[in-house]
Amino acid sequence: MPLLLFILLNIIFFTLYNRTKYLSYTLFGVFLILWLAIFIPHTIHYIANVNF
Amino acid sequence: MNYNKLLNFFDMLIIVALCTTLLIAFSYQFTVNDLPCAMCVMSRMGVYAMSFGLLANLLLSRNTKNYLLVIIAGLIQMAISLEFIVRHIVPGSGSYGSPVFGLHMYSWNFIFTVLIIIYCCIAGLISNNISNNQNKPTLILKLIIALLFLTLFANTISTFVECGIYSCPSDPHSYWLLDLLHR
Repeated sequence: MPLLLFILLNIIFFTLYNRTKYLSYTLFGVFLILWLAIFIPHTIHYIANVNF
Repeated sequence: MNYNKLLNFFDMLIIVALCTTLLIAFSYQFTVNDLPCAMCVMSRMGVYAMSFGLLANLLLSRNTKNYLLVIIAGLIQMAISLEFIVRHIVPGSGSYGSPVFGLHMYSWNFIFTVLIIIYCCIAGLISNNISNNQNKPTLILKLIIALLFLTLFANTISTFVECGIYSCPSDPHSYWLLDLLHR
């Protein structure tokens, strides 16, 4: 999953360098959603396994 | 008053600073063998996420909304580094990775992200919006973009070698691909 996001980042910056505005912003939005989709369950999994 | 040239300079400076932090992280990865954990990999993604808005200002169009994108990415980055800090905040709970100038990388990450968010708030207020930037990138901007692409490519390769197509381990001690080849 992190590899997918890094590949997506490569594509995003490539489209940004080529000045394809809407594609860059759309892919960046997709990246933000996927990034959160990894982070939030990771945090919940950690909190669920911590003995308070 | 037109602050665009000043903001262009600071945007480029911040991208260079972000790339420098990644290079420092790489140096620790290969010299001290501090492999990035799952959260570290997410933090590295956050650096690029914050660079996107700044680079969009320099390449596409100078717009307050680009600074808002940096702030959004910065807030997620802050949450990641804050979680990392909180995991190790209890005395005796240990820490992850080697300290850099007395603080761990996740602590520095939090501090820098807060500073970048503050900068973006101020820059967004004083920025004069330009709708379409047709100017060719200057040599300095091209070098900065090259540095960003280089670190991004290196991070992609590093993540593949360490984690493959799977989720990264929380406490890595070896590279996935090297372990696979040695079997």
